[in-house]
Amino acid sequence: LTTNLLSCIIMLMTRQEFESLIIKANLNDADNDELFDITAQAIASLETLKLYDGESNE
Amino acid sequence: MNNGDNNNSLELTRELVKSGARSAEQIASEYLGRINASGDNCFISMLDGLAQAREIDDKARFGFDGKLLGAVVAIKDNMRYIGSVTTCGSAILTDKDTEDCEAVKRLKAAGAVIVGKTNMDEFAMGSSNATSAYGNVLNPLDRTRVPGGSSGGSAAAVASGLCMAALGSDTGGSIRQPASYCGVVGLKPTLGSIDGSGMYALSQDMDQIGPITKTVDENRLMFEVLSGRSMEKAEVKGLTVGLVREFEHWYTEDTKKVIQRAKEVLSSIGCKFVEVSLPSADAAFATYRALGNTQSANNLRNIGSAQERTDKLGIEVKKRILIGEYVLAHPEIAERAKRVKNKIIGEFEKAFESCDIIVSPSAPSVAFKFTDDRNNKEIVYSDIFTQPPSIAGLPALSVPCVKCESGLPIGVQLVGKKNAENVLFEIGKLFER
Repeated sequence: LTTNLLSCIIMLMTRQEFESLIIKANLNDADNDELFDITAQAIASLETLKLYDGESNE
Repeated sequence: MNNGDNNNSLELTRELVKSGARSAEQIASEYLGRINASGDNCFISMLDGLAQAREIDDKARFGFDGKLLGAVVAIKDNMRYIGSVTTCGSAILTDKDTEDCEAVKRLKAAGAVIVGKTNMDEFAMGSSNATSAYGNVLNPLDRTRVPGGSSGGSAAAVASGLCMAALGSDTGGSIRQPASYCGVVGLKPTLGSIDGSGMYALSQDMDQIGPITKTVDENRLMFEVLSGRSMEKAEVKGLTVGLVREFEHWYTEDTKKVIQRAKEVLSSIGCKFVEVSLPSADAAFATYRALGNTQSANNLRNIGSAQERTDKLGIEVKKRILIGEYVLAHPEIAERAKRVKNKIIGEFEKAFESCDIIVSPSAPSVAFKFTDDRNNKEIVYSDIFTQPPSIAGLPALSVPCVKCESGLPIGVQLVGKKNAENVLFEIGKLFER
């Protein structure tokens, strides 16, 4: 449940950052809304790591 | 081929070819006919199987007797084979290979006939085989359902008798999950125990080549050939079996049956069960995502121009590259993931202080139906039991265990200590009775 909630409520990536990543990834997909959505969700799920990282829990 | 009482088609084939009762060419020809007649899309490309078989027959006449003499084998299409295009299930790779990968060299040296290269999720990124640029592989047990992935073509080919054995690769579950979905045996060996040179890397810190077969004995033989190790018989009576507390909240009525059958089978040889704890197991997915995708982004960095990448890479691959780039731009995430990875490794070490093997379902469900929903829970969570041992680099064997009400199988995952594959094979055989 915690993981799902985090994924839903935290959208860490802005559209500007997405466009920057697109350039780094050597793609021409800056206008690809579906790619932005699924990438943003996946990146949000990385927040889960904070829950399990005892040494630097914030 | 009718195996009679012998559940090792590889050994049987070796005897037939060695004795001259059948030729490798005859046997390979039968399998190629079956492949041509199949509509399950298991293969991306075919190789020079008949020429290989004739060469093996010639050598056998002069006394050559490899462990896989005449065995009909397939390889996942992320492994290089001289003269073939290794596509990795992607439209972007088109160059022909100039040499064989190490695993292929070992198969050839043992006398195997490598008939073709199997379909897979694009760059091994997926759990359904639906991300392949070469179309879906159908699960031969129910063609409305996925075969699993990313080694879905290999698992489906073995399940439907299109080859005797196949190679897959497993990073987070890509051999064990399709083995579970297709009702075959799949091994992710101890990390590093089979040389992966010449295979396209997804995440080299977790990638491992492994065999997919119909039986445990066949899997053991394939592993011996590929690893160069001899599997000593292990004593397994009275072992202590660990059940992971943190996996329980994922169990369904179907996967509870896997645990129930495991208890019945292993109790019958005097095993006792203990609860073990992997408190960070649920972080395995995010750990895998952070560390694995960083390596994937780097591995794919120089493939294709921007326009080629945009046109030819699938959305799942693009997503994972972008996750990798994001983590590279935020190094604190990678550091956090490395710390969690070390926690998971430590938790397994502690668990193995109180047990000899760990048992779980191989997958949280039977093979799911094809879907366009990328957030489908069955896809997202299909590797929840296979990712933790992958992160710890441990060997894990999936063996068909139960048939559910749908008539479809779920495998049992047997996780061992490093290099304890012989224990897994002995235990795995018990589930075949």
